[in-house]
Amino acid sequence: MKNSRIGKTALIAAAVTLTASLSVGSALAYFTTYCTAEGAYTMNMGFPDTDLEEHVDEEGKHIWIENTGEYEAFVRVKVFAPENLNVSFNPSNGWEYHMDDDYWYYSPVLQADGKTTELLVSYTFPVDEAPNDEIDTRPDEFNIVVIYESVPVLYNENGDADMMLSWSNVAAIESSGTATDDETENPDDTDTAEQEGE
Amino acid sequence: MKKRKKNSFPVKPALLLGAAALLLLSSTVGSTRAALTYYSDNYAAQIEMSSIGVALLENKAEVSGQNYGDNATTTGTLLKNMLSDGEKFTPGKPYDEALSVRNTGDIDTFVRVIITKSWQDAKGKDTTLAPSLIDFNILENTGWVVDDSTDYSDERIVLYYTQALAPGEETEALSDTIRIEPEIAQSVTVGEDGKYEYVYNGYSFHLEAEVDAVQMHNAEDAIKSAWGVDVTVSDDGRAITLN
Repeated sequence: MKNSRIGKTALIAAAVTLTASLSVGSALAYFTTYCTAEGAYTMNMGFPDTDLEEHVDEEGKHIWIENTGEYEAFVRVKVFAPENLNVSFNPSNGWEYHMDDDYWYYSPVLQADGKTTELLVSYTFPVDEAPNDEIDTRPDEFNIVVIYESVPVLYNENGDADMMLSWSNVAAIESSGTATDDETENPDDTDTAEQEGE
Repeated sequence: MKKRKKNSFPVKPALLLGAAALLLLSSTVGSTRAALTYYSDNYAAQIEMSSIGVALLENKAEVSGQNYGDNATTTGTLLKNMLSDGEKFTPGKPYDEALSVRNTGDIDTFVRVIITKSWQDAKGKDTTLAPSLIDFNILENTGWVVDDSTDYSDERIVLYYTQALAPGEETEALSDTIRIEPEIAQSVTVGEDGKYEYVYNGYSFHLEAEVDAVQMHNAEDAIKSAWGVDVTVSDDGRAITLN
C-alpha cells in the first residue's frame, strides 16, 4: 500500500518535471531591449533694452530704435506735438499706424543689436494768423515728444512671432495686479523713454 | 489475490512513463548529437548570433542606444542643442525636437516610446507648474499612435509605432517641436529696483524619452510579455494595432 503511494507520487513528480522542463525554453526566447535619454533646459528669460536714435533737420525728425539688449523685441512709438503744429509721418518699411491707440508699431521682430527702419516725423510751422501786423503770434519754440516702448517677443501657437500677443501680454501683466500702481502707470517692462526735439 | 493486487507497483503506467521519458530524452540527445556532428570549424565561423538593438534619434542625430550585438550602450542628453549659439530662450517659440527611432540590431522589431515631461524649480524640486505648459508637439499620420487606453496625465505619453522596423530602418519622427506656453511669461514680479522679473526664471523643464523594442517574431505574445499590452498583429506580421 505504502510502496504504491510512493511510487505514484514519484511518477507524478517525474511527469511534472518532464513537462515543466519542456516549457522553460520558450519563456526566455523573446528579444527585447531599450534605451533612454533625458534633458532639461533652465529658463533664462529677460526683457529687452532699447535705445532711441534721432536726428533733426529741415525735413523733420528722423527716428530709429536700436535693440541694445540680448533679447528679441517689438517696439512702438507715440509722437506728441502741439496742436497747432501740422505733423505728418513718412514711415519706411515695417512701420504701421494703429489708430485705436495712436501708436506707430514696428511689425518685424527687432533682433538683438538690430535697428528699425526710419520713421520720419515731418512738421510745418503754424501759419501767422495776421501776417501784416508786426506781431508774430507763432511760438518761438515748440517740442515734438517721442515716446518709444519695447516688449519681449512672444510666439503664438503656430510658432510665429506675434506682435499683438506680445503687446497684449503687457496689458495682461498690468491687469493681473502683479505690478504696483506706480509701475502700472509707467511700466518699466515696456522700457518707456522720452526724447524731446525742437 | 486481492491483497497482492493492492500492493503491486503500477507497472503499466510506470512503463509508459518510462518509455515516454526515454523517447523524450533520446529525441533531445539525438538532436544534440546531430548538431554536434553537423558543426564544423567552417560552419562555426559563419554563425551570426541574432541581436536586437535600438537607438533614439533627436533631430536625426543619434542620442542614445543599446545593441546587444556589439554590447554597446550609449545614453545621451536631450535638448542640448535646442538653442543656437547666443540665442536666448523665448516663451512660445517652437524649437526643433523631432524624435525618431532606428533599429540598430539585425532582427525586425516593434518599438514604442514613453515621453515624460516635468518641471523643476531653481532648487531642483518638482513644482506645481503644469506639465501641459510644456508643449511637445506630436505629429499625426506618421505611423505612431498614442496609447489613450489608460488615463495618462499630461506628464506621460506612450506612443507605439505600428509598423515593424527592419534592421537599419528608421521610424518617421513622432514629434517636430517643443515649446513653452507663452502664458508662463505673464507671471512677473517687480524687483526693488523697479524692474520687472519673470517669476519662472531659473525653473527648468525636463524631457525624458524611453525607447522599448521587442522582436517582431511572435509579436503578439512577445509584446504582451514585454510590455503587458494586448495588440493584434496583421496577417503578414509586420503591423500591429492596439486592442
